[in-house]
Amino acid sequence: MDETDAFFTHTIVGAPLSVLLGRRQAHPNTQASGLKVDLGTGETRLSRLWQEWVVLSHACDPVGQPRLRPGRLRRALERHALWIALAGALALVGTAVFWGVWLWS
Amino acid sequence: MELKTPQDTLTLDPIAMNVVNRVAAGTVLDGDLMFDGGLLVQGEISGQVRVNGRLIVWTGGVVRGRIRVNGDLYLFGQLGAVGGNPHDTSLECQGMAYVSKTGVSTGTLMARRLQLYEGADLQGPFKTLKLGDNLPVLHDVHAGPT
Repeated sequence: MDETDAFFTHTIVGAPLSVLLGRRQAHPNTQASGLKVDLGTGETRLSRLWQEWVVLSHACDPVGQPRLRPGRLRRALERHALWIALAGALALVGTAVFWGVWLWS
Repeated sequence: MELKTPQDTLTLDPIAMNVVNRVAAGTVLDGDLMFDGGLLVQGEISGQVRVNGRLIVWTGGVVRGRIRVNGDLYLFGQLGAVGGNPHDTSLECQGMAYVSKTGVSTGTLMARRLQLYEGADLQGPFKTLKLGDNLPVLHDVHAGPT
């Protein structure tokens, strides 16, 4: 797909969006969800549950595959990430200014 | 205490998913239709439909007739007419069929794999497609002079 096709696809079909599918009609996986060890190669990797919690970017997600919806806390943190970052930066600057003034005087 | 499984979410990226066709809400298409690439249905399509890609039936979208999908199916809307006969509509999906909590199917659904979500309304039958089921059938082969 070239740039022109991508532009028209984006314009006509729409921008990427996330949609809620619902709860899976399947038994929850009761097995321990931790590291998965490949006995053949010895490679270890995180199970799906942990991968989806740890992941910070969905840019490399497989296309068209559902993923677990993040929990309430994570959604709130992601929604207000900019404000949290701004508050952190302001706190850092404020602390630096405070200590600077205190040491100066 | 009831253990609730977490909900699934799906990111629909038309460019990455090659969904280059769209039937907008309010549009009604009927006949022998062929879509090269994925298709997003927000209106109504019916007839002999072939989609060479993913098919997304959005909430409010309706698909009826004989449909063949060479990709995954995401059903958020309606497959088959409301209260319709399962024989009137059949959809053959060569990938995975996801029927979301808003999806309703009154037709015959055939797919390699099926993922149902709580609230999905599957009123018609479901048939699992096997590996050999995508071989061309007689009515797909154009008979030429011998």
